[in-house]
Amino acid sequence: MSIIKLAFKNVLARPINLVISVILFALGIGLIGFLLLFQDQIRTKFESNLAGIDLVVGAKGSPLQLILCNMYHIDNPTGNIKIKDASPFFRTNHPVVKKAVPLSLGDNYKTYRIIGTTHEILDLYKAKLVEGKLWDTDLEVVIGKEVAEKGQLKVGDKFNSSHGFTEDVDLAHDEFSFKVTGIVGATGTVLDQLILTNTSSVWLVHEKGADSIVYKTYKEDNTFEGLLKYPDRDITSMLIQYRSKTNYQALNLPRNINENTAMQAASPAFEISKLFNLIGVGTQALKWIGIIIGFVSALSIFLSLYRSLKERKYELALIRAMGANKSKVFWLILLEGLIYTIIGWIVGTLLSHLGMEIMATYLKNDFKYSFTGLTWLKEEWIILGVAIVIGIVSAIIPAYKASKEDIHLTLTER
Amino acid sequence: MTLIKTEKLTHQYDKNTSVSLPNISIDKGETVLVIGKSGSGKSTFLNIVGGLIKPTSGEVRVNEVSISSLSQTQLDQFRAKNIGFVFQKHHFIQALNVYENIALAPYFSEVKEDKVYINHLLKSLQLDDKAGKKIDKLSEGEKQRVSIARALATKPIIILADEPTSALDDENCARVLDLLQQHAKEIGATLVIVTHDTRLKDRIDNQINLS
Repeated sequence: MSIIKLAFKNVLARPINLVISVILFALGIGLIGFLLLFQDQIRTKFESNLAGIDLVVGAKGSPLQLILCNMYHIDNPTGNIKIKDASPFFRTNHPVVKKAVPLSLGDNYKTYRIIGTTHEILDLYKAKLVEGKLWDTDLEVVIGKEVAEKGQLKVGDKFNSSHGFTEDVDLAHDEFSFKVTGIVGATGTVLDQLILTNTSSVWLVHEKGADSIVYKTYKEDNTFEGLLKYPDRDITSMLIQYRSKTNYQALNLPRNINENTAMQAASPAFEISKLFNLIGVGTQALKWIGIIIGFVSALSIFLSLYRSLKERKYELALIRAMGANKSKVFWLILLEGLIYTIIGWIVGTLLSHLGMEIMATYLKNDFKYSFTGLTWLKEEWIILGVAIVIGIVSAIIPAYKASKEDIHLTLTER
Repeated sequence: MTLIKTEKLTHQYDKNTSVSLPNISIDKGETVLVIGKSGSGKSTFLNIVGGLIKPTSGEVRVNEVSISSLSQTQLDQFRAKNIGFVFQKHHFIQALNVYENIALAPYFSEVKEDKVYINHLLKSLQLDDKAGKKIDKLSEGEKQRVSIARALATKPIIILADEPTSALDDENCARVLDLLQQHAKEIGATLVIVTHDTRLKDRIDNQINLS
């Protein structure tokens, strides 16, 4: 026998109190834990996708939509921009722009987006080919790791794309087959879920080969210089990397684009920060609900222990008569409070991770990222610390009262 | 050899209630019946000797130790190591089974749990088949026997029994008394029974009347 075992047995002997207190506490802990897991993973995923991209330039519209569509691939484009409007940024000697990577969005394969771009996109995401070679001509593609695995594609395979961003057999482009020439290693970014090809492939598929000039002329060119030959054609956006982030011209560049061109420039860091602030309001509200539930459960533990003192006054007096000093009785009750909150923490933590694992499928559909409940955050240790403090606070008054009971009066009651 | 010796003991419960006790001397290994009318100080005597309360004045020596001068912590330790209680009302830890209730006394006394002795107690008190049972599954007689086993589990030098037979019929009264005496003798403990149960007067010669 030990005092911990005795405390456990005492707690287990009151199953209704235990279940109510643990459920309440676990709900509070579970909700807060789930939000922490969600926030941490979404922040990590969003930040890893910044990939050194300082600016996104596209058609006018919502700047957040521009970022979500072109960097995170979870929204629709704001429209298209003309190559002639974008061409100044493709100059190699641009004073502010170090790198400008064109993006043309159009189709999908099993919901994985097909992006018309240049080889430079791989440098932007620090991606490396692990199999095969880069695309060379039209209708050749390099696929991300997840596309290869989930789409069951390997080098040499061919597939037909579907129009738009959702899979629909009625909208399949049966006339053209894409051929996989290479597979990119996992980057932990959105690139893992993209199918990369040259820009003219996107044009080609949508024009159904009507403009054969485009096809024939462009097919051997996979650099931005090639695009400049078609100033009146469209691309969806450009991902821009600055030479220096602190250059004042760089700081003014978005405003200049927004005010003086038909295009829109949006800073990913700024827009994502705004997005987190928006998400933050909701998560903050849910966190407060979690805290309130935690407080109610602490009150429930306190009441449970306090009320049990009356029924257990003989037991406690008996323990004292057997030689337990006042501090042992105090610790016994305090341990009981801790057992409630620690069990609640364990159940709540399991719930939050299980909930995250279940929600991962739905979140993946919405955010295009893999979420997991099989991870551990250091903040969860902090939650354990808070749970311990709540256990102590809710048990301290009953523990003090129990240690002050007059044993001889209790035991000699007839 | 004198084990318990009291001198000029008084205890003031409140402004209007106080109890004065005669000087008492009890030898080691004796069985003593402490009798008296209600309010004569039977329970006060038991509580003071058991270290549950401190006398307001006077001295009580147990095994050559003046327990009236011990601090609360020392008194707790003294009680744990030297005294075994049997109460009229059966107080148990409801969450524990019979064996655990008995083994709790050695734990709090910081005496090593003697499993062989506890099992011997269970067997001799005919509780060996009840060891794993919860207290609320026992009859009143069985509860009383568990209470005796718990009092003996630390092999104390004194067993203080407060009205141990008052609620029992004649047969069980005799049985409980026999068990208490038998086991006290086995470990060489002094048995002090505080009671107003007149049935015990004929069975125990050594009596202290506080009336």
